[in-house]
Amino acid sequence: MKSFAQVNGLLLLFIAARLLLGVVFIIAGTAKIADPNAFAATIANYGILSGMPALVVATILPWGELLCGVGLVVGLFVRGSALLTILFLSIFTIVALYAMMRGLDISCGCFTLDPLAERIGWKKILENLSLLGVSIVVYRFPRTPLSIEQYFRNRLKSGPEI
Amino acid sequence: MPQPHTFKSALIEAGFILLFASFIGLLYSGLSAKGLFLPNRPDKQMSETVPGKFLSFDEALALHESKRALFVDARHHYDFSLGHIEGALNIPLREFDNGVTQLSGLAKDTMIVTYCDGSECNSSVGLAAKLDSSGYTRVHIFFGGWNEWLSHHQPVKQ
Repeated sequence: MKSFAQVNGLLLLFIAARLLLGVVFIIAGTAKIADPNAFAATIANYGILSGMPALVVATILPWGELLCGVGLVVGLFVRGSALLTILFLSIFTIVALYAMMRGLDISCGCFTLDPLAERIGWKKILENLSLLGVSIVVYRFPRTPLSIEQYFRNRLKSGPEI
Repeated sequence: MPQPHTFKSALIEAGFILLFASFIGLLYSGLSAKGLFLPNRPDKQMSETVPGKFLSFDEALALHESKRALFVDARHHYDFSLGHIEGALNIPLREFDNGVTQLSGLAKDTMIVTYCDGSECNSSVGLAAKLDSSGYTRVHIFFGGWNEWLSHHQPVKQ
Protein backbone atom coordinates (compact mmCIF):
# COMPACT_ATOMS: atom_id res chain seq x y z
CA MET A 1 0.00 0.00 0.00
CA LYS A 2 1.50 3.29 -1.07
CA SER A 3 1.18 6.32 1.12
CA PHE A 4 -0.75 9.41 0.06
CA ALA A 5 2.50 11.37 -0.28
CA GLN A 6 4.06 8.69 -2.49
CA VAL A 7 1.06 8.62 -4.81
CA ASN A 8 0.99 12.41 -5.03
CA GLY A 9 4.73 12.56 -5.63
CA LEU A 10 4.43 10.11 -8.50
CA LEU A 11 1.47 12.00 -9.93
CA LEU A 12 3.44 15.23 -9.87
CA LEU A 13 6.27 13.46 -11.67
CA PHE A 14 3.92 12.18 -14.37
CA ILE A 15 2.33 15.61 -14.81
CA ALA A 16 5.78 17.20 -15.04
CA ALA A 17 6.86 14.61 -17.63
CA ARG A 18 3.77 15.26 -19.74
CA LEU A 19 4.14 19.05 -19.59
CA LEU A 20 7.90 18.95 -20.26
CA LEU A 21 7.48 16.72 -23.29
CA GLY A 22 4.61 18.87 -24.54
CA VAL A 23 6.53 22.13 -24.26
CA VAL A 24 9.60 20.64 -25.98
CA PHE A 25 7.49 19.46 -28.92
CA ILE A 26 5.63 22.77 -29.17
CA ILE A 27 8.97 24.60 -29.41
CA ALA A 28 10.35 22.09 -31.92
CA GLY A 29 7.25 22.26 -34.09
CA THR A 30 6.78 26.04 -34.16
CA ALA A 31 10.46 26.62 -34.99
CA LYS A 32 10.04 24.75 -38.27
CA ILE A 33 6.49 25.53 -39.34
CA ALA A 34 7.16 28.94 -40.87
CA ASP A 35 9.61 27.81 -43.56
CA PRO A 36 8.99 24.32 -44.98
CA ASN A 37 11.56 24.93 -47.71
CA ALA A 38 14.38 25.61 -45.28
CA PHE A 39 13.37 22.55 -43.25
CA ALA A 40 13.28 20.42 -46.41
CA ALA A 41 16.85 21.56 -47.15
CA THR A 42 17.88 20.53 -43.63
CA ILE A 43 16.23 17.12 -44.12
CA ALA A 44 17.97 16.73 -47.49
CA ASN A 45 21.35 17.29 -45.79
CA TYR A 46 20.92 13.97 -44.01
CA GLY A 47 21.15 12.33 -47.40
CA ILE A 48 18.16 10.03 -46.88
CA LEU A 49 15.28 12.00 -48.39
CA SER A 50 15.43 14.77 -50.93
CA GLY A 51 13.20 16.65 -53.34
CA MET A 52 9.47 16.10 -53.06
CA PRO A 53 9.52 13.45 -50.27
CA ALA A 54 11.65 15.78 -48.09
CA LEU A 55 9.24 18.61 -48.78
CA VAL A 56 6.22 16.48 -47.83
CA VAL A 57 7.88 15.53 -44.52
CA ALA A 58 8.85 19.19 -43.96
CA THR A 59 5.24 20.23 -44.54
CA ILE A 60 3.64 17.71 -42.19
CA LEU A 61 6.19 16.81 -39.47
CA PRO A 62 6.34 20.24 -37.72
CA TRP A 63 2.54 20.31 -37.45
CA GLY A 64 2.59 16.76 -36.09
CA GLU A 65 5.11 17.85 -33.47
CA LEU A 66 3.08 20.93 -32.58
CA LEU A 67 -0.21 19.01 -32.28
CA CYS A 68 1.43 16.35 -30.09
CA GLY A 69 2.92 19.11 -27.93
CA VAL A 70 -0.40 20.90 -27.51
CA GLY A 71 -2.18 17.59 -26.87
CA LEU A 72 0.29 16.72 -24.12
CA VAL A 73 0.14 20.14 -22.46
CA VAL A 74 -3.65 20.42 -22.40
CA GLY A 75 -4.13 16.70 -21.80
CA LEU A 76 -6.01 15.64 -24.91
CA PHE A 77 -5.16 12.45 -26.83
CA VAL A 78 -2.32 12.00 -24.37
CA ARG A 79 -1.64 8.38 -25.16
CA GLY A 80 -1.71 8.93 -28.93
CA SER A 81 0.54 11.97 -28.63
CA ALA A 82 2.99 10.08 -26.45
CA LEU A 83 3.02 7.19 -28.92
CA LEU A 84 3.85 9.61 -31.73
CA THR A 85 6.62 11.30 -29.73
CA ILE A 86 8.11 7.85 -29.12
CA LEU A 87 7.97 7.19 -32.86
CA PHE A 88 9.40 10.61 -33.78
CA LEU A 89 12.24 10.46 -31.24
CA SER A 90 13.16 6.91 -32.26
CA ILE A 91 13.39 7.97 -35.91
CA PHE A 92 15.33 11.16 -35.04
CA THR A 93 17.83 9.15 -32.99
CA ILE A 94 18.38 6.53 -35.69
CA VAL A 95 18.76 9.20 -38.39
CA ALA A 96 21.20 11.21 -36.23
CA LEU A 97 23.28 8.09 -35.54
CA TYR A 98 23.29 7.27 -39.24
CA ALA A 99 24.45 10.82 -40.06
CA MET A 100 27.23 10.58 -37.46
CA MET A 101 28.34 7.20 -38.80
CA ARG A 102 28.71 8.73 -42.23
CA GLY A 103 30.67 11.62 -40.75
CA LEU A 104 28.22 14.29 -41.87
CA ASP A 105 28.83 17.72 -40.35
CA ILE A 106 25.28 19.06 -40.54
CA SER A 107 22.87 20.95 -38.36
CA CYS A 108 20.20 18.97 -36.57
CA GLY A 109 17.14 20.98 -37.58
CA CYS A 110 15.57 20.10 -34.24
CA PHE A 111 14.74 23.43 -32.60
CA THR A 112 16.01 25.91 -35.16
CA LEU A 113 16.68 26.04 -38.87
CA ASP A 114 19.83 28.12 -38.36
CA PRO A 115 22.52 26.18 -40.24
CA LEU A 116 25.13 27.19 -37.65
CA ALA A 117 23.30 25.93 -34.59
CA GLU A 118 22.78 22.47 -33.10
CA ARG A 119 25.24 20.23 -34.88
CA ILE A 120 24.53 16.52 -34.87
CA GLY A 121 26.56 14.78 -32.17
CA TRP A 122 26.49 12.60 -29.07
CA LYS A 123 24.94 15.44 -27.08
CA LYS A 124 21.98 15.44 -29.45
CA ILE A 125 21.67 11.64 -29.26
CA LEU A 126 21.65 11.79 -25.45
CA GLU A 127 19.06 14.56 -25.53
CA ASN A 128 16.85 12.45 -27.80
CA LEU A 129 17.24 9.34 -25.66
CA SER A 130 16.34 11.27 -22.49
CA LEU A 131 13.21 12.62 -24.16
CA LEU A 132 12.44 9.12 -25.38
CA GLY A 133 12.53 7.97 -21.75
CA VAL A 134 10.14 10.77 -20.77
CA SER A 135 7.83 9.80 -23.68
CA ILE A 136 7.68 6.20 -22.50
CA VAL A 137 6.77 7.34 -18.98
CA VAL A 138 3.99 9.57 -20.37
CA TYR A 139 2.72 6.77 -22.62
CA ARG A 140 2.69 4.33 -19.75
CA PHE A 141 0.98 6.74 -17.33
CA PRO A 142 -1.26 9.01 -19.41
CA ARG A 143 -4.00 9.57 -16.87
CA THR A 144 -2.95 12.50 -14.77
CA PRO A 145 -4.84 15.47 -13.31
CA LEU A 146 -4.66 18.90 -14.94
CA SER A 147 -5.78 17.48 -18.26
CA ILE A 148 -8.90 17.83 -20.41
CA GLU A 149 -9.31 14.04 -20.70
CA GLN A 150 -9.20 13.64 -16.96
CA TYR A 151 -11.61 16.52 -16.41
CA PHE A 152 -14.25 14.84 -18.55
CA ARG A 153 -13.50 11.44 -17.09
CA ASN A 154 -14.12 12.87 -13.63
CA ARG A 155 -17.36 14.51 -14.72
CA LEU A 156 -18.64 11.26 -16.21
CA LYS A 157 -17.91 9.34 -13.08
CA SER A 158 -18.85 10.24 -9.57
CA GLY A 159 -15.34 10.83 -8.35
CA PRO A 160 -11.77 11.06 -9.56
CA GLU A 161 -10.47 7.78 -10.83
CA ILE A 162 -6.83 8.18 -9.89
CA MET B 1 -3.26 4.14 -9.39
CA PRO B 2 -4.52 1.96 -12.24
CA GLN B 3 -3.50 3.20 -15.68
CA PRO B 4 -5.48 1.58 -18.48
CA HIS B 5 -3.18 0.77 -21.33
CA THR B 6 -4.55 -0.21 -24.67
CA PHE B 7 -2.24 0.06 -27.61
CA LYS B 8 -5.09 0.09 -30.11
CA SER B 9 -6.73 3.24 -28.79
CA ALA B 10 -3.33 4.98 -28.68
CA LEU B 11 -2.75 3.98 -32.30
CA ILE B 12 -6.12 5.38 -33.35
CA GLU B 13 -5.39 8.66 -31.54
CA ALA B 14 -1.94 8.85 -33.14
CA GLY B 15 -3.44 8.24 -36.58
CA PHE B 16 -5.97 10.99 -35.99
CA ILE B 17 -3.22 13.43 -34.95
CA LEU B 18 -1.14 12.60 -38.03
CA LEU B 19 -4.14 13.00 -40.31
CA PHE B 20 -4.99 16.34 -38.76
CA ALA B 21 -1.32 17.44 -38.98
CA SER B 22 -1.27 16.55 -42.70
CA PHE B 23 -4.45 18.51 -43.25
CA ILE B 24 -3.25 21.67 -41.48
CA GLY B 25 0.23 21.35 -42.99
CA LEU B 26 -1.14 21.20 -46.52
CA LEU B 27 -3.66 23.95 -45.78
CA TYR B 28 -0.94 26.23 -44.36
CA SER B 29 1.36 25.40 -47.26
CA GLY B 30 -1.40 26.18 -49.75
CA LEU B 31 -2.57 29.40 -48.11
CA SER B 32 0.92 30.78 -47.51
CA ALA B 33 2.23 29.57 -50.91
CA LYS B 34 5.22 28.02 -49.16
CA GLY B 35 6.70 24.55 -49.22
CA LEU B 36 4.88 22.28 -51.64
CA PHE B 37 2.96 25.20 -53.12
CA LEU B 38 5.83 27.66 -53.52
CA PRO B 39 5.27 29.04 -57.02
CA ASN B 40 8.15 28.74 -59.50
CA ARG B 41 10.58 27.59 -56.90
CA PRO B 42 14.03 27.46 -58.53
CA ASP B 43 15.10 24.57 -56.39
CA LYS B 44 12.38 22.47 -54.85
CA GLN B 45 14.19 22.10 -51.55
CA MET B 46 15.67 25.47 -50.88
CA SER B 47 14.46 28.23 -48.65
CA GLU B 48 13.35 31.47 -50.14
CA THR B 49 14.90 33.16 -47.12
CA VAL B 50 18.38 32.22 -48.32
CA PRO B 51 20.06 35.10 -50.12
CA GLY B 52 21.11 34.91 -53.75
CA LYS B 53 20.46 31.88 -55.85
CA PHE B 54 21.63 28.31 -56.05
CA LEU B 55 23.99 27.92 -58.96
CA SER B 56 24.17 24.84 -61.10
CA PHE B 57 27.59 23.47 -61.95
CA ASP B 58 27.48 25.11 -65.40
CA GLU B 59 26.60 28.51 -63.95
CA ALA B 60 29.36 28.23 -61.35
CA LEU B 61 31.85 27.15 -64.01
CA ALA B 62 30.91 30.08 -66.26
CA LEU B 63 31.45 32.53 -63.40
CA HIS B 64 34.76 30.90 -62.53
CA GLU B 65 36.07 30.91 -66.08
CA SER B 66 35.07 34.50 -66.71
CA LYS B 67 36.55 35.45 -63.32
CA ARG B 68 33.42 37.49 -62.60
CA ALA B 69 32.94 36.05 -59.13
CA LEU B 70 35.05 35.47 -56.06
CA PHE B 71 34.73 31.89 -54.82
CA VAL B 72 34.70 31.45 -51.05
CA ASP B 73 35.21 28.02 -49.47
CA ALA B 74 33.19 27.46 -46.27
CA ARG B 75 35.00 24.26 -45.23
CA HIS B 76 37.56 23.83 -42.48
CA HIS B 77 41.15 25.02 -43.06
CA TYR B 78 42.38 21.43 -43.21
CA ASP B 79 39.97 20.42 -45.99
CA PHE B 80 40.80 23.63 -47.82
CA SER B 81 44.53 22.90 -47.61
CA LEU B 82 43.99 19.47 -49.18
CA GLY B 83 42.46 21.06 -52.25
CA HIS B 84 40.05 23.77 -53.28
CA ILE B 85 38.62 25.55 -56.31
CA GLU B 86 41.38 27.56 -57.92
CA GLY B 87 41.42 31.17 -56.72
CA ALA B 88 39.05 30.54 -53.83
CA LEU B 89 39.41 32.15 -50.40
CA ASN B 90 38.78 30.16 -47.24
CA ILE B 91 36.30 31.44 -44.65
CA PRO B 92 35.24 28.51 -42.44
CA LEU B 93 31.73 29.14 -41.24
CA ARG B 94 32.65 28.75 -37.57
CA GLU B 95 35.42 31.33 -37.88
CA PHE B 96 33.40 33.79 -39.87
CA ASP B 97 34.25 36.87 -37.81
CA ASN B 98 38.01 36.36 -38.26
CA GLY B 99 37.80 35.04 -41.80
CA VAL B 100 35.65 37.80 -43.20
CA THR B 101 38.48 40.31 -42.66
CA GLN B 102 40.03 38.82 -45.81
CA LEU B 103 37.25 40.52 -47.72
CA SER B 104 37.91 43.99 -46.28
CA GLY B 105 38.55 46.39 -49.12
CA LEU B 106 36.32 44.39 -51.42
CA ALA B 107 33.35 46.28 -52.91
CA LYS B 108 30.09 45.19 -51.32
CA ASP B 109 28.57 44.49 -54.73
CA THR B 110 31.31 42.05 -55.73
CA MET B 111 29.79 38.79 -56.86
CA ILE B 112 30.63 36.06 -54.35
CA VAL B 113 30.01 32.34 -54.75
CA THR B 114 30.10 30.20 -51.61
CA TYR B 115 30.58 26.45 -51.55
CA CYS B 116 31.40 23.59 -49.18
CA ASP B 117 31.69 19.84 -49.76
CA GLY B 118 28.39 19.55 -51.55
CA SER B 119 24.93 18.31 -50.81
CA GLU B 120 26.12 16.67 -47.59
CA CYS B 121 26.95 19.99 -45.93
CA ASN B 122 25.09 23.22 -45.48
CA SER B 123 27.84 25.61 -44.45
CA SER B 124 27.80 27.17 -47.95
CA VAL B 125 24.23 28.28 -47.25
CA GLY B 126 25.17 29.49 -43.77
CA LEU B 127 28.16 31.41 -45.10
CA ALA B 128 26.03 33.04 -47.81
CA ALA B 129 23.52 34.14 -45.18
CA LYS B 130 26.31 35.63 -43.04
CA LEU B 131 27.88 37.44 -45.98
CA ASP B 132 24.46 38.75 -46.92
CA SER B 133 23.90 40.14 -43.45
CA SER B 134 27.41 41.68 -43.56
CA GLY B 135 26.23 43.79 -46.47
CA TYR B 136 27.42 41.85 -49.50
CA THR B 137 24.65 42.20 -52.02
CA ARG B 138 25.49 39.61 -54.68
CA VAL B 139 26.12 36.35 -52.88
CA HIS B 140 25.28 33.05 -54.57
CA ILE B 141 25.66 29.43 -53.53
CA PHE B 142 27.27 26.66 -55.54
CA PHE B 143 25.48 23.88 -53.68
CA GLY B 144 27.10 21.04 -55.64
CA GLY B 145 30.32 22.28 -54.05
CA TRP B 146 33.72 20.69 -53.97
CA ASN B 147 32.48 17.19 -54.80
CA GLU B 148 30.69 18.27 -57.95
CA TRP B 149 33.64 20.44 -58.96
CA LEU B 150 36.05 17.50 -58.58
CA SER B 151 33.77 15.13 -60.45
CA HIS B 152 33.96 17.44 -63.47
CA HIS B 153 37.79 17.62 -63.27
CA GLN B 154 37.79 21.38 -63.02
CA PRO B 155 40.84 23.46 -62.01
CA VAL B 156 41.86 22.87 -58.42
CA LYS B 157 44.62 24.19 -56.24
CA GLN B 158 46.39 21.87 -53.78
